[in-house]
Amino acid sequence: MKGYLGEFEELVLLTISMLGDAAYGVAIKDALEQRANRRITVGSLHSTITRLEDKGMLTATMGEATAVRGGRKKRYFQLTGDAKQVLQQVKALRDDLWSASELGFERS
Amino acid sequence: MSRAKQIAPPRWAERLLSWYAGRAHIEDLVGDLEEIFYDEVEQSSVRRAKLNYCHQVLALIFSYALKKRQVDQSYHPLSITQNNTAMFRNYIKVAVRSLARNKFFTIINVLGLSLGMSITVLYIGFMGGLFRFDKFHENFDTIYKVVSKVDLKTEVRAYESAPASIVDVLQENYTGIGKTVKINDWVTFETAYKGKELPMSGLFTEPSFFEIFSFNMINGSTQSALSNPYQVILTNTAADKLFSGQDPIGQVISLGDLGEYTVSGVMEDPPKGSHLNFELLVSYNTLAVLRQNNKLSQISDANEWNTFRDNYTHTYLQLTDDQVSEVELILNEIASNKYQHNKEMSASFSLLPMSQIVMGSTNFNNNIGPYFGGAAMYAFGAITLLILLPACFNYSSISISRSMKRAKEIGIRKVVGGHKKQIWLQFITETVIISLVALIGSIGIFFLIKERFADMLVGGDFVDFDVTTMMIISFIIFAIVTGVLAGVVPAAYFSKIDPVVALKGPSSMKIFGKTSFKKILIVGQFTLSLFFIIGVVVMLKQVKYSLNYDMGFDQKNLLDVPLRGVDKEIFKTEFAKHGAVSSISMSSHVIGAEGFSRDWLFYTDQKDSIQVRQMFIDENYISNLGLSIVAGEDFKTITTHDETSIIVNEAFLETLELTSTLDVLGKLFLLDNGEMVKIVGVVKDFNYSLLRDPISNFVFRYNPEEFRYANVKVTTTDNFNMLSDMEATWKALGQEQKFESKFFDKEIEEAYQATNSMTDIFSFMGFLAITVACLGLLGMVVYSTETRAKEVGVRKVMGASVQNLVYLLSKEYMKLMLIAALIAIPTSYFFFNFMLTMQQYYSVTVGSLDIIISLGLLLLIGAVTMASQTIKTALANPTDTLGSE
Repeated sequence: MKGYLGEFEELVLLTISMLGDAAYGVAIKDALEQRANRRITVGSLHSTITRLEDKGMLTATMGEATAVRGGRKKRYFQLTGDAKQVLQQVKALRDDLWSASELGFERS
Repeated sequence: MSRAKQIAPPRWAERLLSWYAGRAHIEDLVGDLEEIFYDEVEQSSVRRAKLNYCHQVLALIFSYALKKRQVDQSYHPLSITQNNTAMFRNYIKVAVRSLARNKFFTIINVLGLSLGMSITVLYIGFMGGLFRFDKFHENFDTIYKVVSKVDLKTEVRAYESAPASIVDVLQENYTGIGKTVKINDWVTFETAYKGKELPMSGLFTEPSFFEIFSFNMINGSTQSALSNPYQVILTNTAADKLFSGQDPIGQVISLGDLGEYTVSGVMEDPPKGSHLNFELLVSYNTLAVLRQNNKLSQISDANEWNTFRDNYTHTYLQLTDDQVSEVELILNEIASNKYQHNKEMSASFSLLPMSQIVMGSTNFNNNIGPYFGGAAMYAFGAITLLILLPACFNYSSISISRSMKRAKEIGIRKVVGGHKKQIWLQFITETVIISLVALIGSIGIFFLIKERFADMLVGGDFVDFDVTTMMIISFIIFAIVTGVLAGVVPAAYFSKIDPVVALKGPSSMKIFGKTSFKKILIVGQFTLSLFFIIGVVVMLKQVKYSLNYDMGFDQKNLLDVPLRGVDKEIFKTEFAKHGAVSSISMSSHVIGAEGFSRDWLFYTDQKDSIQVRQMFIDENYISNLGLSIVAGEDFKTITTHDETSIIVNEAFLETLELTSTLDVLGKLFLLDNGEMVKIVGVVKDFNYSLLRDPISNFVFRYNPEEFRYANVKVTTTDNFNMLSDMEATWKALGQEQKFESKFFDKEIEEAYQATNSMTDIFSFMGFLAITVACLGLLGMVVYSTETRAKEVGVRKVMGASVQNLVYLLSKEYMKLMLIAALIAIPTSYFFFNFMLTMQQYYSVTVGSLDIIISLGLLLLIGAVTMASQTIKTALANPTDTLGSE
């Protein structure tokens, strides 16, 4: 497996992939807070994003100026090929474990 | 829009964030924050939104996201390279070039660091030697020694020895102890073979000695060589000395009054780094036989449990790890059994692992080998740092002072994409290269001073100073650590230089924000230097004083000849024939230099005893040495030289609290061995021992049996011819041994060798401290003359003279040196006065002249250092310094 993924990192990656072209700071934060039902600070979110960038899982592009945010640009994130591969691997591993475990039988 | 104007995120928080971020890009982050803020305003209250905004800002400030963006911003993205070895080669290349370009400063830095590091190298070398102590024993980890702690009710004393029979009692109570050995180290043996007499250090010990310890036998059986009384094993060196080549096995040698012994074996010399050091081994069961014959009664009896001072039995056990606690329990039981009814004292016993004997935390009494441990070693370490750290600081300050020269280089590096980390590494590399070069110098110094150093230490001869691979590795690690230590401040400083400022011109740079710290450093270094200078001055004074001290007898033209078994009467008649010889006397010791045997005198009527030092002399001695009799008579005038007459010194009278010298004559005393002696004369006080000790009770006795030296008074200036004549006479007496003779004053001079070694070490330390301090001063002065070159130019144009300018540039540093003097003078005055009196009872004191000389020396050295730079600057042509403007 290519590099280790933390639980929060995995969630952030999946959220970005879910949001598609609209994946920027606030959108990711809102989506995560709603779905995972937990409070996240901008600092912790961006730290994780930065780490994922360091790992080569994310690329970023600056958007156009917007009126809403006092004219400030948004920064959009996209998953890299590596990230998709790693996510697949994580999922495969999980599925494998699920199907092998008793919990997996109960559910199916 | 109007709402947005009224309700906005707290400005101060936004400003704080953008100030903290510096040049990092945070536009998107601020945008995110603002968006969240307005969302929250709509969902809940403005107040909560503002509070949350602040919370988010704080979280961002401490986040990795912001930190990473700051770091990214500080260098060009292209400067990150994966090719680290190439980069590293480049650092080395740049470092070597820069060092080669600034030869003067490179030399100063290398010199300063090698001097500073040399003491630490010595320390590491010494410590390496200590850690190897006794490691050559294969059983090193399993050997334990039984040591005693004696509670005398008034004080508690620790002894390395234990009662002689403790191991026997232990074995009665506990089975399963591996091997044990007893060693008694009390005696120095007066070895003699066919007229050759040599004092040798030796041990009484059992055959198991060779099973426990890894000493190698060359010739003879380890089983049987020590199994019978009157057997002796010689070390290789001792055998060579005594038998000069012929086979010693089976020969009979005499050990003074301890009888005749058969040489049963020859073994290798104990290697360096052994705490057991000896020239011969005598079988342990000889002790019991000797005691039956009333010999060696000083040694505690085998059944003695209460006297520890005169007990020199050392007990070694070989134990497994889990036996240690069991054996200690039994030792405690033995102790409580033995001492439960004793009201005056008690003792307890414990096991000391072999690794703790030399370097342990306790300095035992009656120790068998050298002891290096405890506070002295920490003090040594502290002195090491006291020399090393200033040298590192100096390197830092010199480098930073020189930074103006290199600011442009760093500026360019940064502009073309040099990493902060890369510049940091480049400077660290440079320092490490310097410190590695300096290490070579330090190791050179280490080889020069290690002998001296060993001389100065008690037992230093036994330390193994050999350089091992392990040691070389530690030296290199030490050099790298020193390099990093010295280089970290300049490296951090250089890597932070703002390229814009650096390229604009060095004069706009501000360095040495913490000048006060540097001033304190300079003051500290000069204080230390002055301290050492004063130390050297007073110690030289002490040595000179000691050598010229009026000891109360005539030291000149007196030749001491060890008799080495030559018949006294023959010696006298033969040597008296020499024209140069005016008189000859005989004695058991050489006064003024050597230690004396002690004895106890008892009053016939009282229980109280008096401890005295004694010496045996013949009837010519007192007149020969120019001693004066104040009352009674010399041995000369007594017709029968019987052993019962003694001559005492004046100090003895004081001890007796007698005012009139005449009262003492005829008084009777009992000797330790029961003999009765009578005082026949009183001699004027003289320094029979080194000036270290005060004059105490001293007794002259008469006994030709004890004579070991001839004191020959000569009246010639042609020493060489006289000595060769005497040697011829000596040979004519049928002596195989070399004729040895020493002039008395030379002999006394040798006795002060320890003080001399100490003076040497102090001089060396002083030299180091002064050099390091001067290098630091030089760094400061170079900095100030370089930055003030223009000021000096302007002043010169306005008409300032060279003297004015030199004064202007130096006065600040002169002030620092004077402050250092104010601190150093009182401290060293008290310290050295204390030390001198500790060293010698009859000692000099620190005089004002010594202080003036030391201070003058310090100021002179400092002034020369400063002048080398300031005069150059003051003489510079103003058109050169101002022309560039």
